[in-house]
Amino acid sequence: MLRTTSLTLLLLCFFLFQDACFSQVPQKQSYVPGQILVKFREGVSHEETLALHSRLGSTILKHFQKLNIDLIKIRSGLTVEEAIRLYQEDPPVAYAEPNYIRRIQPKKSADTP
Amino acid sequence: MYDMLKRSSILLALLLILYPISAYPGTQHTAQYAPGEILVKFKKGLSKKHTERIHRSRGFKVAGRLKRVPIDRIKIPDGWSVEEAVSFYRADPDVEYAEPNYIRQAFKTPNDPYFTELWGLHNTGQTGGTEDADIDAPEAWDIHIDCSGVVIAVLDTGADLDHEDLKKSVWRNLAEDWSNGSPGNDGEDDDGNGMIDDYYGWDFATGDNGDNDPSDDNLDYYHGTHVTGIIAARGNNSVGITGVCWSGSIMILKILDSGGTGTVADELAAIVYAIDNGATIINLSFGGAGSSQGEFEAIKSARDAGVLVIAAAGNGGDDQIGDNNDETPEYPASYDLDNIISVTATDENDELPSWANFGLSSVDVAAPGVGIFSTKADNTYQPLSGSSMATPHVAGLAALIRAYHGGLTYDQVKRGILNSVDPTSSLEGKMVTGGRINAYNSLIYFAGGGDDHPCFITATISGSQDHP
Repeated sequence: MLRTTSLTLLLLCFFLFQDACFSQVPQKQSYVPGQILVKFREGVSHEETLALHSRLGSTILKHFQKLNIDLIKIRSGLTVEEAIRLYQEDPPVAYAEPNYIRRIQPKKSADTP
Repeated sequence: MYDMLKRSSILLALLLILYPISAYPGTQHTAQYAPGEILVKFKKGLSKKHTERIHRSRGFKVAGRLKRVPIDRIKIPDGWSVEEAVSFYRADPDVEYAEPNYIRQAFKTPNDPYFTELWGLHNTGQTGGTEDADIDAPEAWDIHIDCSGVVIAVLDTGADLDHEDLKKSVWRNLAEDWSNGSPGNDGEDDDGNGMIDDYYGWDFATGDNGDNDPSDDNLDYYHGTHVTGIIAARGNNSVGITGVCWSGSIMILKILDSGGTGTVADELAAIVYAIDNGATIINLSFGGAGSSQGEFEAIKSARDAGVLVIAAAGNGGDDQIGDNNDETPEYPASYDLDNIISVTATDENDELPSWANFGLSSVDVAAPGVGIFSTKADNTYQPLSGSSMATPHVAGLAALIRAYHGGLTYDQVKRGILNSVDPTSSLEGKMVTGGRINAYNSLIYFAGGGDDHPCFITATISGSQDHP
């Protein structure tokens, strides 16, 4: 029931507000394709995290021990959105998110008013 | 939050009013005056003959008369002290006032040849702007100049480590191997932090685990080199410019590639490194739209370690028109964490440039960020603009505060910056403080112990005792 409602809403949104639905996607690439950050809940064993990564076909690029976060290279063929959804479905995962991009925006003095 | 700030402002105002009563043993200058002379002003309507007679009666001589104001400069005869002479004249009913001829010195200015370009530190109208629309750096330097004891991590495109105006302001990792002041290059991870020979910081932006060379390869701007110079280019070394600090200890953490682009993952690694290696201030002159829980947690862990994070509010995004960060947040500046100071830019008239982001609840302060002259590669210099340039002015001030007054917590330092701004009408309602930072005010804020207000308390108590 809930799922049907969500689906209806999503479709409604898509048809009525096609632009608005996607307006949150910035024009410039906002995250690194093929990578995500995954944080596991406290108390989850290293073996459990390895098992999950392996089941989802991921490779660990980096492990931030102090933050308990893994930088993951996702299986080819999987989008970042799909990978995040798959990880978040798994109870040991606290959250999964894109590896967002940060930029400088300096202006040379000729550009200044 | 705003209420609290308002209350603090009132407290600060009270503090300033009480300032003359309270003693600041650490900073109060002993009054100095010219020996053997005083200044005397007579009441209106007295003839010159009459005043001459008063002088001559005790052997005083008029050494000069100021033209526009009727004040006599008096040479006092031998055997009289300045104090005695002042008392003598004050006792005469014809005298409006008499005082020592106090000595005034120019505020401390460094001998760096391009100092005159640095309107953000000292605005004389040199770029067509408004005099004193600056952070009052020379006034602050009368109190403190040296930040070498405070480690500031700059997460950016790296820095030119060999620049003549920077090389002595770069942090050195003494837990690695050095020989005669130079890197020993033993190829070993002496400090066991997983990074081999990390002498000045680390390059997190180059693949895998990165490398130990955080040199700036951002050829378009030399962004990180520029930011580093604003914080602590060597002052008074007869070369180039000076930073907000005349000396510093800047940890160079390269997380942005040659194009000025980086990832949250590399930023996380660098923040952990900064905390682990003793940085107490982190400068983040970059941003992005995506809200990251990991980035939030990393900055929160910095807070738990007492580290203050200064972050750029952004420059209007793709359309170059300043955005309201309350509505379109810029990360990491916009996270709701109290160890972040979010900084936007002002120009040489204390105005917000058209591209500068703002936000009544999400941007804290403004600092100079237009046409800022600073270090570029190969011992050269250039002007750049952006909140990226405003941010290191605040990081430099935070370092100056920490160096001047040890043992402050991150939130005390933050309050010392936010409660000491020069409020300006153009910034009012656009950010939390509605003002541009003022380094002198911030140091004075801590002269008597900062927001614990020992001076405030002392002043109140001694005031009531002295004047029952």
